[in-house]
Amino acid sequence: MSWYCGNFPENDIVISTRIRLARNIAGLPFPSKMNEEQRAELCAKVKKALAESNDSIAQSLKYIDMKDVPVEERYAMVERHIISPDFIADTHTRAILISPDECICVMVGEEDHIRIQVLSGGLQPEKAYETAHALDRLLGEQLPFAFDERLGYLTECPTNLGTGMRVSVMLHLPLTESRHHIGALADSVSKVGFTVRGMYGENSKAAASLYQISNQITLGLSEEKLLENVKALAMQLVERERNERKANDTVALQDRCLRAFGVLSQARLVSSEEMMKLLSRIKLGQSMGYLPETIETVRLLVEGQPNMIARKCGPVSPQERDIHRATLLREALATR
Amino acid sequence: MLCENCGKRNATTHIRLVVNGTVREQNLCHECARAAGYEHPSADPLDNLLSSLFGESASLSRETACPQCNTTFSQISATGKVGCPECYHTFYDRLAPYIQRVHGSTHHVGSQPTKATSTPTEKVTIESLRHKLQEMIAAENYEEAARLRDEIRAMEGGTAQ
Repeated sequence: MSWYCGNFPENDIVISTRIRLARNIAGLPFPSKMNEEQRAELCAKVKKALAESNDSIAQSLKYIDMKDVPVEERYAMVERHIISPDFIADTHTRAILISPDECICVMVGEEDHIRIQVLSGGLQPEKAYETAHALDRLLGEQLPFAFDERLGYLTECPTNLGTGMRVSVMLHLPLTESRHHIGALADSVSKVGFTVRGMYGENSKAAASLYQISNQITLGLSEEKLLENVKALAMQLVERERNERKANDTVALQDRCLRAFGVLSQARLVSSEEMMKLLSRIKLGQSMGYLPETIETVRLLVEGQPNMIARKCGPVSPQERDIHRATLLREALATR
Repeated sequence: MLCENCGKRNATTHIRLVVNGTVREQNLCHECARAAGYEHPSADPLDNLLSSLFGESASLSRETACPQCNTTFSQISATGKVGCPECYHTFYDRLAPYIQRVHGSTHHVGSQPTKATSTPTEKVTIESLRHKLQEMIAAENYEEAARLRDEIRAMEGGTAQ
């Protein structure tokens, strides 16, 4: 099951958890210093290491050379949070190994030789780490990782040294945001070594009130401690948002959420910005008990992204895309 | 140090010219260096910020290159990216203060790879660090001594757990 379909722990507020482990192979330069030949060799090494493993997860991963992926699909992969925008920005030889549900993705030749990424719905850092760790062990048995007793796993950017682990949690914080608490939040999370940034949107105002917290420090803290810290921090934010929601259970809020539902169940043209704004209100309305929980707001949010629409309907004009998006949303909301 | 050309401003750029085996060195201020065509390649203010985080004027540092990938410290300082795993060994002393500032530590605790790998920097023991600490105190390098003291404490804490 994909990370954006289904019910997961704390998913009234937490959308997803992502673990990323950065690993490099000893004896090879880091990717930005690699030539095409070395890059091809790297891809082959990682592919072989996983193919020769008897592990069921490793065997389920499909190897994809990025040059075989059409441009629109690459952007759609970014919209599904499978690969990073940086990964598709350059045109050098690089590859991914991906699981059928797209929750596991090993990027080869991004900023580091190998980036193991595991996504899970809701707040499940331990579960995601368990899978990432298993893959790390598998790859580490076959490939000599660059490691140093003092600095841990060696990475192209010193900001990823140590565990090479980045834990990110995506949260839906509409009321924390409307009470103008995001600035204070950013200050307080930075004191404990985390950052907060808006997802999808630019600057401090996030589209759909989605925010991502992730650890900045990767050296000097064990993986267990990092997981513990991210979970504790995310739960604090969850509790704060829940309290705000309880304190603001008013007719005005109910009206705003139900109007969003009304518009999306009838509209014939919906832009991507409007969709995000209104789905955010529907999601809030679900957690307040105004709207049924069966509406898959997160799935719609992902599938309504521009390149996801293009992937399904082929190359269409922006207006046709808005029509397709409106249809997707209307059909999903019609039976509710 | 004043600029050897104008004698007015502080010298910020160290130039080392090797012509047919003859070494000529010059210390110039920013303006004179620019006039002589030695502008720092990075004009991006963010890169300058990065360099200041590395705590060292890239242009003043003597250029040692990594034996494996040929990357110099000023390249690392300008891009924030290290060339290869061996660079961490080559430039450890200069990278350590930056790493300390970013992570608040220079001592890894956490998982280790299953397979034996090359270890670019020497195997670190508490004993070897204590030895180095004594050397730093003798050399009156108290900043480095304090860093080593913290590293030893962190390792002792890690061992005690």
